[in-house]
This record gives sequence, C-alpha cells and structure tokens, in this order.
Amino acid sequence: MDKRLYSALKPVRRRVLLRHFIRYAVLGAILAFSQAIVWLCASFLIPMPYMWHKAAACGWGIMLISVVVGAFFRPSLRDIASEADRLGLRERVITAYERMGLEDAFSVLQREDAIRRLKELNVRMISVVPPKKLVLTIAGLALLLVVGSLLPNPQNQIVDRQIRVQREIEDQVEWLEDKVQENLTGEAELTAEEKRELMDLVKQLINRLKQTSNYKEAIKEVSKAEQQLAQLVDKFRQRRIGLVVEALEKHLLTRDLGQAVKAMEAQSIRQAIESLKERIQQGEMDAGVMQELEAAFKSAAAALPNGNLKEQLENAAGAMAAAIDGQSGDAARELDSLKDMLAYMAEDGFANPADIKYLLQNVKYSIASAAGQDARLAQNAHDDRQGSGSRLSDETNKEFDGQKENGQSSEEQPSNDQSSSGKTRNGDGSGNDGQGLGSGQGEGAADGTDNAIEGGDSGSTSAGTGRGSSGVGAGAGAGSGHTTVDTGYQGGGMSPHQGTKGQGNPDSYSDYERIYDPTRLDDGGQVTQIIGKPSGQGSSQQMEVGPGLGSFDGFVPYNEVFGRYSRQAMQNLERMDIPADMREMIEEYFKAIE
Amino acid sequence: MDISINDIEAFAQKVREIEGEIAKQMVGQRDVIRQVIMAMLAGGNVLLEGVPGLGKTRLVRTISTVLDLSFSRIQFTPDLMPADVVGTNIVVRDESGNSRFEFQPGPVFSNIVLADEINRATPKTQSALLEAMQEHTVTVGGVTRQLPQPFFVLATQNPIEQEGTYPLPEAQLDRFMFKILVGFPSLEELHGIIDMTTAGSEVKAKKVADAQTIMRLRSVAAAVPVARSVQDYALRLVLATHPEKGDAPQVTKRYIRYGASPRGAQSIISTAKVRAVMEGRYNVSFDDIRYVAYPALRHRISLSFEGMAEGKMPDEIIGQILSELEE
Repeated sequence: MDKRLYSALKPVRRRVLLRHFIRYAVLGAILAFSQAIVWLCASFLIPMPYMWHKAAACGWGIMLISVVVGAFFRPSLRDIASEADRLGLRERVITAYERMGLEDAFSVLQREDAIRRLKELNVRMISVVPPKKLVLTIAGLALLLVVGSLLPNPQNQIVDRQIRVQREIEDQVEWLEDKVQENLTGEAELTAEEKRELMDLVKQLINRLKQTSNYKEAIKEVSKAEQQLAQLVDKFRQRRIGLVVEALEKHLLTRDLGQAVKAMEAQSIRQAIESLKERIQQGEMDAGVMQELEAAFKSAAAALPNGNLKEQLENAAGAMAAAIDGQSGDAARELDSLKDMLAYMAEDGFANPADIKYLLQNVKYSIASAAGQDARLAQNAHDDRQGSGSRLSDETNKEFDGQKENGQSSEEQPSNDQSSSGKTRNGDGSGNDGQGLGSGQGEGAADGTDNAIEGGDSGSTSAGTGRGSSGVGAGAGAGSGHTTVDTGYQGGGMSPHQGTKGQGNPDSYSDYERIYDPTRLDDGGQVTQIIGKPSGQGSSQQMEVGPGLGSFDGFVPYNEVFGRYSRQAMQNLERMDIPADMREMIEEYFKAIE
Repeated sequence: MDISINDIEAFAQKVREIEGEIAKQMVGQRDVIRQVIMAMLAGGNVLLEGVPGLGKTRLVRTISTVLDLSFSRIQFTPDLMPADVVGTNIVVRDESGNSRFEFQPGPVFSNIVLADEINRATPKTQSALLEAMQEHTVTVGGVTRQLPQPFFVLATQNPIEQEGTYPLPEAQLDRFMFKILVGFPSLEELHGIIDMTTAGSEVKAKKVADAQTIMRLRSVAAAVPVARSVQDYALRLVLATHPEKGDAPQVTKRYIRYGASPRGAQSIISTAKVRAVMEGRYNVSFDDIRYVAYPALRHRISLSFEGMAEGKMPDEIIGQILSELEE
C-alpha cells in the first residue's frame, strides 16, 4: 500500500477499529446480559448453586468471544477507506485505494487529492459511541437483571443448602482423610495389610464423595462405606478368631474354649473360662496342666497380631505361670479379663478399628446437618427407597428435600415418614442407636428399642424393635447423645421445649433440636415419664425414659477414650447445629468428667 | 491520447468558461445547460423536452456559437422524408454534358444538429437519425459517410401536443444519452429573459472552444477513474429498474414494464465522469451517479399500465429506487 495514503488513513483506521470493537463489546454485553437473565429465570425454577458465578463466567466468556469475533471480522483497509469517504470525501479514498500503484496523471492527481482531504479530515466525526438502540437494550437488560435479582427466589434456600452441603462435603473429605490416616498410624491392633485395606476403603469413599454435591447421595455413599467397613471389620475379626481358635484347639485343656470361640457364643466362652478358673481356684490343676494352659494361651497370643486380645492372652499366660508359683489370684483376674475380651470379640468385638466407624458417622451427620437434615432420616429415606417392603412416594421424597425450608422448629413433634400408601414400617433402629451427634459419645448402646414412628395417612403408630450395634467406645457408661428411643427427642424431663408445638412441619424430624443433658447420662438422674404424641398426631402416649444409655455389653477404660471423645465433641460443637445454649452445657459436661 | 495533469486541471476551467458564455445568452436553466454540456462531453445526444418558448432552440444555437461548431436545424414535420435529413444522390450534369449521381449531404452533416419537434415526423424519418446518432455515420445509396466530429443531436419535443405526433420508439429513445426536462423559468428568470431580449442590447456569446478542444475534453472525461463500488452502485441501479429481477424494489415491480438497457448504464457512468471532473474532482462519487440517474434513465424506463394509470412520473420512480438502493 502507498505509504502516504496509509499514513493519512491511519487515524481513520484507529477510530474505525475502536468503534468496531466497542460495538462488538456492546453486542457481547447484550448477549452476556441476556444469558444472565436466562440463568436468573432458570434459577427460579431449578436450584442453581453459584448461579451468579456461572452467569458471570459465561458473560465474560461471551464478551471475550465477541471481541475475538470482532477481531476476526475487523474492517479491512477497503472498508476503512469507504468509511472515510462517508465523512464527505466522496469516494476519493476508495478510488485512491483501488488505484494504488498506478501512475497515470489522473491516478496521481486523484491520490494527492485523497491524501490532502484525509489529512484535513476530523476523525472525531467518526462516532465511537454505540448506537442508542444498543445502549438502551443494554440498559433495559441490566434493569431487568437487577429487578430479577431483587425478587425473592424460592430456590435460594435450597441453593444455600446445596452450597453448604458441598462445602461440608469438601471439609469432611479433607478431615476424614487426615483423621483416618492419623488414627491408623496410631492403631496398634491392626496389621499393615489391614490398615491398607481400611485406607483403601476410605479413599474410595473420598473419591465418591468428591464426585457428588447432593447430600442424599453423599450419605448414601457413606452408608455404603459403613457397610463395607462392617464387612471388612468382620473379616478382621473372623481372622483373629480363627487364629485364636486354631491355637486353643491344639491343646486339650483349651479345646472347649476354642470351640466356644469358634461358635462365637459368648455364653459358652464364659462358661469355658469359668470352668478353667474354677478348676484353678479349686487346685485341680497341677503345675503340668498349668504349664499346658500357659502354652495354649501363649501360642494363641503368638498367632495374633498386636492388640488387646494378644496382650490379654499374654497376660493370661503370664498369670498361669505365676499361678504355678502359687499366685492364683492374678490368674483368676486375668481369666476374667480374657473371658470378657473373648466374649466381646465373639459378639461384636473389634467393630471400630481406628475409630473409622465413628469418623464415618461423624461425616454422615455433618453432611446431613449441613443439609439441615437428620442423618437418620436421610439414611432411612435412602433405605426406604431401596427396600421392597415399603416405599416413599415422590411427594415424600420432595418433602425430605424441602422440609428444612420450613425453617420452623417443632420441638415436641416427633417426625414421621409419611408413606403415601399409609403402610406401616417397622423401624429397624439398627446401627444408629444412641449415636451421639457430633460427640460420638454413647455408641455403646446396645439392644436399644427404637420406636420408629410412621404416621402414614392414618396416623397410626407402630413400634419396631431393633438391635443396636454394640459399642466399643463409651467407657464406664459415660456417653452423651440421645437415647435409643425416639421419644427421647421429645425433651421430656429436662427439655425446656416439652409440650411446645412448633410452627413448622410437625412431621419433620429435622425440626428437632438435639438436646444433650449431662444430668441424664450414665447412671444419674431420675426415671422420667413423658407424655406426648410421638407422631404429632393421634392420641397421647406415656413413655418411660430412663437415665443413661442403657446397658453396655462391652466397654473400654474411660481414660483411653475420654480425650478423643472430648476433642471430637469440641470439634463437632463448632461443626454441628447444636443450639447455642446447649453448647455451654456440653462443654461443662466434659470439664466435669475430666 | 495521453492526458496530462495540465489537461485535467484545465478541464474544469474550460467548462466553466463554456457555461459562462452560454449563460450570457440563456437566463436560468443552469441545470439544463450543465446537463447538455455533460452529455456533449460524454459523446451523447440529448432529447430536450419542454413546452414551446423555453429557449431550447436558443440554447442549441448558443452552444454551437460558443463551441464554434457547425449547426443545422431540422424542423420535423409529418411530411419530412429521411432524405431531407441525411441527404440524397442527385443527378448532375458536368461541363462535358455527362450526367452522374452526386451525393447532396443533408442537414445531419453538421457538428450540432437540432432536431426540432422530433416527434412530429414519421417513425421512418425519425429512424433516419438512428445510424447518425449511434455510429456517427450516414449510409445513402450503399455508401457510408462519416459525420463531422464532434457530432451531437439535440432533439426537442413538446410534451403537451400529442395529436398528430409519433412517439419516439424505444430504440430511438435509447440512443439519447440524456432526456432533459426544460422547466418553466422562475419569476426572477423571466425578468432576466425579458430584460435581455427586449432591451435591444443583447450580449453576444464568444467562442471559447472549438471541435478539437471538445474532443480533448471528451478524452479527459473518459479517463476519470471510477471506484468499483461506485460502478457497482450504478449497475445495481440499472438492474433495479428491471421488474423481472427477483430483488427489484417493489416500486419497480409495480410501475415499470421494461427497465433501462445497458446503454443506460454506459450513459450514467460516462456522464458521471464528466460531472466529477466538472466539479473539480478526480473520481466519480455516488452523488454523481445519483445526479445523472434521472436524465439518463427517465426515458429508458417504460411505465406499466398501473404506473401510467396512477400518473406516475419516471423521475418519481427513479427517486424511490435510489432511496432504496444501498451504496
């Protein structure tokens, strides 16, 4: 191109390009606002977490694309020459552009004329202001967007919950991995292979949790993991029992005991050990027999991996050796301990290696709590969906999703699962009995009775009896958490909410506040008669709620678990939706029993 | 012919001189004068349409005077024969008494031919001008003769008196580069006309150019550059007068029966070039096209029955087409 003509055309080019890009940016802005409005409209229909973030990201993307498209379709020099001509140059520039390189008289004169006129041109005549129509369109869209954003959006609460759940899942995933790692490191009872298997299980769960933001899915995954954990733990227990049985059956003296352990009958184990103890106390065993007994315990201990049982077997072997020297008292005590430990192992022992079970429960409750749900309810909803005996209607599912939005508590009313068919569902009560929310205390509850209350269309109530998991955690009977009976939620006794009916959905479990009352734990406190409507409907019932968590089939020394439980309680105080006025009480409780 | 920068720069000056001299004899009608000069410098013929007494003949005569060109006037009447226009072979006897045919040139053998009231002659006589106007030659008795250069036909016709007239056929009309409408002068101009013609002190126009100068000016005008987009605009304009084209404007489809011929496009571009250089520009603009579109196309579009029934004027339709045509 002729340098002089190009130079003269430069200011026009700059101005035209500026106007061009501004127009594309404005068009991009219109598209960006339009898509934001589409997002906004959609957000009124379906919950969209981070809707504004997404709309903004898409908007910026569209703007960027607009500018890129603008750059792709930017005006050519011919277009710019034509643009200059439109400013009154009367086709001088385009003609000069087309006749570049020609040196005939007309071309030379024409080019000079064009350059002279271009230099005289005031480029500010090229307006860079976008057309009024476009500006008004943008203003209209922006106004629409502002008004739309100010309108109350019924999906906001759901979105907030989803975000809360997602964050909670992220937090929990991180916490779970660290905690499991830490616990496994300090866990002496597990072999390296077992630790690896447990860690794999947790990692699989973590991976699955990372892929979901739905609290029900998350709880479902945790529940699955709990089941897998139970299977894995059972496998560990069976392995240990197998090793003990193999060692004990080799010796005639301990063959009965070995068979009892093999049969996993606590009563037979107790009887077999009692029989041995009796024989020792009555001096029926001479030194040779005692030595054989010692050898049997030693070989059983040697077969086992490190752990309490191994230690106890070694202690028992040591006591047998001591008894040979005439110290039968230690032998009896050690045999008692061994009896308890084997019985525990046979029944439900070794259920919670490295506290993973509790950690998973904690994750589940934290996620459910973040979703404003009760984990048991979420779990039950999940179970019900999978079960063949009863089903939940879509409406019920919806209720699960939305009930927290009611927001109002109804402390007194026990919740129902409303079945569209009105079918009665027997509560299973398994696994959840006595789980202390957050604190993890009270897992020791076993054989609790769970009144799963089903309102149904008829409002009828049925009770089911379930078997709770035997706890290994709660020591010395100390355990926080609600009782195994649903009616414990009703705040009988100490609850200030007794008899108060909330404004929310009376059938909602989640509307309960969880109340921890240290005075009602352990063996203290009084038996309380509670009167209320467990389902919130129908006739009143009177139920008796005793103190504490009920009987413990198995326990661990208090000082071994207190520190961990206390820490978890303090952590979960921050994490879970425990009423503020209850927090202090919980803190005081732990201080009191320190 | 090589064109120098001096030739180009002298063009506008010379045209101004010509216009100035003609203006001494003609009061008002500046657009008519300008358009006639444009057509002449573009090498075309002009059809002047107007009521009698508006100075059409005077204009043609003045032009011939100013340009120092030979001038013939032919008054077209129904009994005018082609031979009366182009000439004929007559028998002549020489000094030795031998007889022979000799061509007697008709009035068409002039630089400027005024075909006055051309629509009064029969089509046969009118068509005698066809070859002269297009080829600048005349063929009589099998012999073709070249007309003097430059050669212009300036025909006039009266739009009112239609009785006993023979409308010009399309082929004839198409050979006129411009059809110029001579309007009635304004009051001011009438004062000027009266003052000039009744005071007995009429100013004589001077000769400011000759045939050679005209030919030179023609060469310069023909070399004026036209941008592709401008030429494209002119051609799209011509196409837009064709109702059979799918993208023709609605006004064309409704009111036009036949559109302009390619000769119309040639006329537009040629005369637009002259206008550009007359205005001191060295290139043709869209404005030039728009300006010459009316005189170049108004006689080339044939109105449909609907157009005639509604009394549409070609200028009105051309204006509407121009308003819808994008640059």
